Amino acid sequence: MPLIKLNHIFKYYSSHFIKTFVLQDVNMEIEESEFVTIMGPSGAGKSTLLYIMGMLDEPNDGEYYYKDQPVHKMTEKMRTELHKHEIGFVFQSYHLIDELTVYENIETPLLYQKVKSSEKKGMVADILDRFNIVAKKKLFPHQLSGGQQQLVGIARAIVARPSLILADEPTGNLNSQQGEEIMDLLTILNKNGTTIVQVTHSLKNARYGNRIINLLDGRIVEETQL
Amino acid sequence: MFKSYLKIAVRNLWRNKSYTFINLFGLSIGIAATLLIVIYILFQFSYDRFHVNKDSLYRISVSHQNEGKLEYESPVYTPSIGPTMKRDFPEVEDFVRISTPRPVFVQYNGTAIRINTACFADTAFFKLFSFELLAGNPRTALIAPYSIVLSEKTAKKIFPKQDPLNQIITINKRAQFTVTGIVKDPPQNSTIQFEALISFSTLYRMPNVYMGWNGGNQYITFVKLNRNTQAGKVDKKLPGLMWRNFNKDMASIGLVDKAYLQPLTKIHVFYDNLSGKTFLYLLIFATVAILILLMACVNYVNLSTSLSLKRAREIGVRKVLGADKYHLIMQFLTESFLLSTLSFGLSLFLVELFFPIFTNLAGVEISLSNFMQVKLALISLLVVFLVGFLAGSYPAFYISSFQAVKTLKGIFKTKKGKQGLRNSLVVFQFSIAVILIISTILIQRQLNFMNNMDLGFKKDNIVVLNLPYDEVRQKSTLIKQMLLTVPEVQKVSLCSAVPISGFTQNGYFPEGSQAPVLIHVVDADKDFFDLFHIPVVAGRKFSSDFQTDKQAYMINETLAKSLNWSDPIGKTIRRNGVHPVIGVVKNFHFATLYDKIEPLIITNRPVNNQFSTIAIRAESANWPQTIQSIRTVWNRIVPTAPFEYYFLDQAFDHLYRFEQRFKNIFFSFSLLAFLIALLGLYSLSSYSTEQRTKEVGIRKTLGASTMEIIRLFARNFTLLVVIANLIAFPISWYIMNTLLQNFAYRISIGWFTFVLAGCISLFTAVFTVSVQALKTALINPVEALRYE
Repeated sequence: MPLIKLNHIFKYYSSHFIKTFVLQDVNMEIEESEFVTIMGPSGAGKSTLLYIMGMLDEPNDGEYYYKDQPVHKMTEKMRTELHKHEIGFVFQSYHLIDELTVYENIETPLLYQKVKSSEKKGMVADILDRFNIVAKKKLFPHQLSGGQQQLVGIARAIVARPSLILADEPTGNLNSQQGEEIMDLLTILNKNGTTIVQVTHSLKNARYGNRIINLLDGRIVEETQL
Repeated sequence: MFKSYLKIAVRNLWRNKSYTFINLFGLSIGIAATLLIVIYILFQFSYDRFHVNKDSLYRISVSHQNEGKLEYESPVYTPSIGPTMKRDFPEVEDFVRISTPRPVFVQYNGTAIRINTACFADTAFFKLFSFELLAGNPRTALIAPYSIVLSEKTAKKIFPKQDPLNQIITINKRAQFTVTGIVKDPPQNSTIQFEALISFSTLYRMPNVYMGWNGGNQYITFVKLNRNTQAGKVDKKLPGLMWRNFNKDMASIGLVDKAYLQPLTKIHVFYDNLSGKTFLYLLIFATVAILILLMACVNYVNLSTSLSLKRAREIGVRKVLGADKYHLIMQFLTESFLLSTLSFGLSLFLVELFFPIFTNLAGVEISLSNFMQVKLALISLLVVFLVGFLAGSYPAFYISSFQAVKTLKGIFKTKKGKQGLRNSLVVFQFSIAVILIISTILIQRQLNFMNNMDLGFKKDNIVVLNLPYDEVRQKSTLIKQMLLTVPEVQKVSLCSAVPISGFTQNGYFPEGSQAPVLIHVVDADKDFFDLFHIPVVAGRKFSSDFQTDKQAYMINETLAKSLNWSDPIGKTIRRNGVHPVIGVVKNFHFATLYDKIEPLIITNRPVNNQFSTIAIRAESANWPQTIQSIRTVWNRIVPTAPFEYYFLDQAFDHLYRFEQRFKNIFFSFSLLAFLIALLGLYSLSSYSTEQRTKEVGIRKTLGASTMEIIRLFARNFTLLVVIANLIAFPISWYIMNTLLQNFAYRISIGWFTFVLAGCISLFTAVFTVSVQALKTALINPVEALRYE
């Protein structure tokens, strides 16, 4: 059973009766524990594909099976429920909540999953410890460097132990050393069983994964198994 | 979870301090205004609720009809109806008659003290009502004739030192009364007000007091119904009783009296005061309060939807982290509820601060502690909830519907439609503000109109003296002669009353009419007309040259017209003899301006041959001195009688004090509403200029002048205020036209008020926006562009 199965996915925007296609007839399968990289030039539809996988966006046409469940037939409520238990997101610009401390940012997904208070504390403490950021837990995002912020971003993405991590250019705003650290971290997570799909421009980062999918103008033009 | 909502709410409020302040300020003023009005309304509805029997007590009111036409309605009626009802109706457990209050003069130990409101009351008074007797026996205090129960305050005045109980006092220098009780002063929220109660049995000992069915309308009757008796049951039986005792005899001349029950607790708001219009006024106040609150909420809605752009990313992130709509709605509602709770706390301080000013404006003496009660607490809770919900729900639903993908990709823009909503809310606010401004101006104009209206007589520079009792009245002619020796005094007239709040009515038979006609009457000597500058339009006024003038009548134009007398001189009117009409006076307003000028007879012979009032016209540069001279004359002739005077024009102002208070309250709250609208405009324009700083920078580098920048911002908001005015004009015209119908004599609304209100609103709005725009326009364009 594949983790993700996409059949004939189309995504377009209509304005003034003209359809602009972002994704055209995308088909793919991602098995559990894979580390897949989506590459392609700007505007190729990489992020859109990622958001569709993350159930934050809906395709205009096509079928999406997540662990054999038909996502395209689900109500928004069911999708939210599935998404919050299964998927963690990492962004290029971190997207930490400015008004919340490091601790509170990491805690937030657990709040929305109604995890019990004692259990929640344990989970956050565990992550802080693993990522070596216990000392920074009371700081606000603007008090951290970019690398540290992305560390918190990843910590927040995995705190609820998702099966799938979707990373949208996770190192895009970082210098090379910080970037390497983040990529190493993702590799370790993958080794421990988490499926990872990342979008990147960098071939170097792509080599951390086991498969590269190349998109151009919304179509898959090439697949490379590493 | 709630803790987390609260935390983020606090941090957000803190981060946008200036907007938080504007919201807090507007909401707390709105809530404070609402609470003050709620307290006022609660007070008005608290009237007569302190009686234990409040739910089974009713007042009897009678409408008097002539030939099927309503003449007037009043609870003041004959003394017979109460006893008859108790005899005939098993549902009526008991009754109390209370006479209309009258001033009496009490003598004790050589001092004279005036009691303004002494009432005759039946023995059952203390059984039915819950006025607390501080001394004496409630069951027996009002049994024996010539018993008097004094209010606490009155008792202290007459007996500063000794125990008043069982003391003998003289009233009006005529009769002696025994003090049989001291009663706690009636609270302000009691319809029944008195300073002394005299046993009803005393009336039966007095000569000339008519106690039958055909007149002597001086008594207000209250009945207590048996437990579980519906008032409607008694109301159904009353026509039969009225027919047997009164209407049967009067049917031939077309008179019908219809009696019905008024629940005691509804009297103040629904029946008495302002001819039962109190409820309407309270309704207006409540509406204004709700509008102010709504306007404050609108500010919150406008500001938070504007600011939501800044928070779009946070919403997106939260959605990615698994928040569903419910979580986000709860988060934003927490924010608005926090703000409304904070505002409520602040408003309590404001209420405390403004309470004395408010009670002064409203003319009520209430203490705030009286209202620290469950009802107010519940209403407060409701207000907090309502504000939190009204202000918070739209932003909450709106913001939580943001699409995560768009907010995260940074391509998020608020929809054009939301701009439309904000604009319509601004229009809504300003429409209300303009309606309130127009209403305030019109109410003020109506009051000015009433104060300056040509009443048909001159009310300035007139001092009025009351002649308290027979001994003084017998010397009235002498007092008049002596007063004329005071240099400043120009004219003095003896009369039964001065034209201010209406003259008494009697039944008369004008020539050619078979049935008695109720006509107003005043007794006056010959100088009345010159003193008040009332012109005689036909015939002549009373003269001392004709001995027969004592029997003569003068009438006003309305009476002549209503009797279709084209030449009234020489016609006769019958009442205790036949009286020739010798003159017709030009119409003058002897009652309030709520009423049209009604028919009037002026007689030259007062009741018991004694005038009870002296009117003095004087020209004085030093009124205290003049009053002192008048007092000296008084003291020389009647040294023991209390000297009491008032200025007619001041009494006139007093007559419209409720309208004046209404205007005061209305004006204050309109001002508040307008301020809140401006505050909203200020924050919106401050936000919009902040948003467009870059645009302004570009425009300036392209050569736009400061003036052009200001115009750019002011144009949109000015348009909104103009639309608001156009909406407000017809609505306020309709409202005020309806309200003014209550006045028989009223201003015409005219276009000027609308232009004025339009100018006020436009000028202040443009000014508010321009200040903001100027700030942005003055930023160095280089700074503005680097800002991005």
